[in-house]
Amino acid sequence: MNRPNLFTLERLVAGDLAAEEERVVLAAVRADPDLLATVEAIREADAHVRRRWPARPFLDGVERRQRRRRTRAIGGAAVVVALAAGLFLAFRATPPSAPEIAEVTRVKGDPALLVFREGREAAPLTSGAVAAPGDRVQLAFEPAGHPYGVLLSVDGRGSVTLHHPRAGRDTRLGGGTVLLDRSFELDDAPTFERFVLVLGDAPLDVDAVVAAASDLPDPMRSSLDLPDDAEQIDFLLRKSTSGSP
Amino acid sequence: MGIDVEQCYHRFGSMVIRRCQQLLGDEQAAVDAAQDVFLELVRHQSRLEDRGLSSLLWRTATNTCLNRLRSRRRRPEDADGDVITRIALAPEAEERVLAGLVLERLFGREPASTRTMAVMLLVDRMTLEEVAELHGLSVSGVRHRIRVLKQRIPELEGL
Repeated sequence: MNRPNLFTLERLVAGDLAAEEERVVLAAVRADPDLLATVEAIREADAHVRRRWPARPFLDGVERRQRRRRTRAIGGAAVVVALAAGLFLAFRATPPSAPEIAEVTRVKGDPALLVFREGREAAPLTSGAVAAPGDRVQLAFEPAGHPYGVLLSVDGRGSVTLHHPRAGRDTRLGGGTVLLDRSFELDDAPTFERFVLVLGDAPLDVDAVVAAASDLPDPMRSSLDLPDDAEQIDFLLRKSTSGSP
Repeated sequence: MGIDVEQCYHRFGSMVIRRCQQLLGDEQAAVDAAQDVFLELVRHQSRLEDRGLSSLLWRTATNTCLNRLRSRRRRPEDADGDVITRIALAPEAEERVLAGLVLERLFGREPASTRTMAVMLLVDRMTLEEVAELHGLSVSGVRHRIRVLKQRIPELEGL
């Protein structure tokens, strides 16, 4: 057999090897002082970890995480439902002369980027949905407390379109959920349209964000090179070549 | 079907914590990451069985730590000479636009993380055959997957 690797030695100490494999590994360990030293080190570390991190307090910590995650999930789902309902109504009611950004509601939770297809579903699309050239989409986002944001899209040709801020370089947000007043028509660029929302706690450099989006090794998947405190949220529309499915 | 998580901790808990400490370097950070690993176990406990648990935990711990290293240092140019950090910052072969699905993949039918495979090859010194077995893939499948990392991790050349 190959020289036993660290994982195999861990399994040996944990008593996880089948009898025959254990016999072979033990023979290899006894014949190799380095392996023997590694096994002894694992046993010592094992005793230390068991003393320091007994099962109950460790698993209590796991249960606390689970409760927190459930709470966040419920909160997140509620935000999306509230956003979807509110934005659908707002989308229908938004007059053509509305300001660029309409503040719809104030909800807290995780940031969210929502994409609605005009004249079709009431519910927002899910990332990865298929859309067709000519479809018009409406964009909205929940900045979840971040005061600054940039929203852009990258298409299958690598072209970048800036959606917010539409004019100027002021990335400040209104403090609540943002609904862009103008819908956006998908052109015939192939394969995909990827929407990228960048949120920050300090003013964002729009030109730098656009430049980062224009220079991606893989425009569909690569992360933007952003300041450490900026948060990136993606939404992908896959493009069909014919009409909407 | 289903596993007893407490029993699983008694058996493999220290292995998981040690694995996390090996990759993250700090015991407190390792315990924190290990709790995330066991949280995934709790979430999927009804669908899991005892067989193969050690492999699953080893992979999940590796992946969890790589994600943490990745969050700590997001930009490739932040990486120093440390191969673990460079692997953590390297792109996934099958990375998706929506992040956060890696653990789901490990427990579901999706392919495992390429970065995890790279750690096993370069840090754990596993053979291609061992990595393939651990992930339920063919050797050529592992080779194919790590090909994408070779530009960033020259140590993978020749494997």
